[in-house]
Amino acid sequence: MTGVSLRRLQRWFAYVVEHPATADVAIAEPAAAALVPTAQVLADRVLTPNRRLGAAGMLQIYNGAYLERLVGVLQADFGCVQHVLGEPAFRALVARYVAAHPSRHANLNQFGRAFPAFVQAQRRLPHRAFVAELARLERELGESFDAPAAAALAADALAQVPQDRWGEARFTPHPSLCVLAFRHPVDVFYQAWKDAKPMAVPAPERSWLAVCRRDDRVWRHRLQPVAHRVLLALVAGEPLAKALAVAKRGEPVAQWFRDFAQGGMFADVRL
Amino acid sequence: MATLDDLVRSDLGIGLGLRNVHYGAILGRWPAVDWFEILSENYMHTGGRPLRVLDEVAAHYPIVMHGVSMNIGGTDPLDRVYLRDLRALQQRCGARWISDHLCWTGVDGKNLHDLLPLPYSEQALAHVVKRVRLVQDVLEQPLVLENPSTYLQFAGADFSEPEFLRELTAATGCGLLLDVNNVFVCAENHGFDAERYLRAVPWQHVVYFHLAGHTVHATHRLDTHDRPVAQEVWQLYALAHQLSGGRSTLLEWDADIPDFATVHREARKALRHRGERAASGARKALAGARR
Repeated sequence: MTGVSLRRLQRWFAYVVEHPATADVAIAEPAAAALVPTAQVLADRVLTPNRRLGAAGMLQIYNGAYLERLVGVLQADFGCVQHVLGEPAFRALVARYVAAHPSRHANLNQFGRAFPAFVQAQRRLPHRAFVAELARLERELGESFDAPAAAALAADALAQVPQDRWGEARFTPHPSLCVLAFRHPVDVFYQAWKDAKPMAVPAPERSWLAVCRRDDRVWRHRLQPVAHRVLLALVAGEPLAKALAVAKRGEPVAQWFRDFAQGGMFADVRL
Repeated sequence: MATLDDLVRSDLGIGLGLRNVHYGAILGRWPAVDWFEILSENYMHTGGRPLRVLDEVAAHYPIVMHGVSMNIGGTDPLDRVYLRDLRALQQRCGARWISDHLCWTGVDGKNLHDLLPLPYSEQALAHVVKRVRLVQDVLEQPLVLENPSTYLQFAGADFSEPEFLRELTAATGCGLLLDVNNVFVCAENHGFDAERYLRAVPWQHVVYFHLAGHTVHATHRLDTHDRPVAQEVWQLYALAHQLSGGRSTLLEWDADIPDFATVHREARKALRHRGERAASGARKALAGARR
C-alpha cells in the first residue's frame, strides 16, 4: 500500500465501518473509492488477506461491531423505549440515529443526548409523541445520574433565613434537578415497566415530574400542576413569594416546598 | 512523578477491573484483591455515584487508569480537554499510571468507539511517536499503551507489531501494557507465532499484563472479555511472566459479567502461572496502607 496518507486511510476505514449496509457494499461506493481505490482493495494491496477472510470479510468484523455496540449503549439508556417499540423497530430507529448523530464525544454516556429530539422528529414512528416523552424521561434520568456533584441545601442553612425575609429567598437548583411536563402519564408507564407489570400505551393525560439525585440515587417526584409551576419559577430564580403567588389559597404550598427541599432539589439559598 | 522504571518495577500483583455490577461485593467488604483498574471514561463527565465509589475504592486499593478514547493513532488533533480531564481524574484517585491503546478511535471529529488498527508503517510510527511525546508532556509521566486485538492487517507493512512496539518505545520512552489475550487472538487471526512475538517484545518497557477471554468464530477470534481466559492464553502468560521477570497482572471481564467471586477466582488462576500459590493472597488489601 503506497501513496495513501494515514488520514486518508482512516477516513476510508471510517466510511466503511459506519456504512449502514455491509463492508463489501461500502468499499465499492464512489465515496470510498475516492479515498482508496476499490481495485486496490480487491487486489489485496491495502489489506493482507488471511487464511479465512479477504478484505471485505475482515472489514465486516468492524462494520458489524460498530452498530451493534451503539445499539447496546442505547438499549441500556432507553430500555423502556425499546420495550414500547419492540427490539426490531428500536434497532432500526437506532440505526437511523447513529447515521444522523454519530458520536463525537469520548464518553458513550453522551451518545443518547439527541435521541429524544430525534424520536420526536420520526413522523412514521408508532406512538411517536408518547415515545418521545418516554425517551426524554430516560435521558433525563441519565443526565441526573451524571450531573456534577453538589451538596443538597442543608436544613440549617434554611433555618438561618430570617422569617421576615422568606419571601425574598431565591434558591439555586441542584445540578441534577430537571423539571418536566408531559402530555402523557409517562412516569406511571415507566414505573409499571420497572415493576415488570407492563401496561398498554396510555392515552394522552398531562403529567408533571421532577427528577433529582439524592444520596447517589436518582429519584422521580410526581408533581401537582401548580407545584410544577412553583418549582419552575424557583428554578428560574424567582424569589419564593413570587413563585408561590401562582398557587391559590388553601393549596399545600408549605408541604410542596418541604418536599422540594427534602428531595435535594436545591443546592443553595440566597437573599 | 513516577518514571518508566518505577512503573516497570512496581509489581502490584493480581488486579481486577472495577465494574459497577461488583460494587456491592467490594464496598465495605474489601475483598483480597491486590489492585483495581478503572475504565477512565466511566469516571469522567460524571459527578454522581461512580466518583464516590471510586473515592472509597481508591482509599483501600491501588488504582490504575485504562482508557479507550485517547485516539493516540488518530489524525485529528489530540483532545487536550480529554487529557486534562484524565490528569484530573488521576489526581483524584491517585492512579499509579494511565494506559490506553495503540490504535485510533475516530476521524473528522467522530468517535467510532472501537480500537481500530494502525498500519505498521514508517508514516504511522512517526505520527504516533509525535503524539505520544505530546501526551507525555501534557500528562508529565510515561504513557502506557496496549497492543490491540486486530482483525485485519494492512498490506506493505514496514514493521511487525513487536518491531513497531520496539521502535515506538525506544523513541518515546513510553510503557507497554501487554495484553496476552490480544497477542493470542492476533496470532490466530493473522497466522503468526505468538511465542516468537513474546520473545520480541521490548520487556524493559512492559509495565503490566492484561488477561481476558475471547470468542471463537468460524473465521476469526474476537476479543470479547465475556468468559474465562483460554488455556492457550494462560500458557502464553506463563511464558510472558518468565520473560518479564514478573509484572502487575489484570483480569478483564466486561460482558456477561459473573458474580465477583467467579471473576476473583479466575484472576487468581494467574498465581499458578506465576509460581505464587499463596503469595498474592497475603497481599490482602489493607485499608489505606498501600497508598
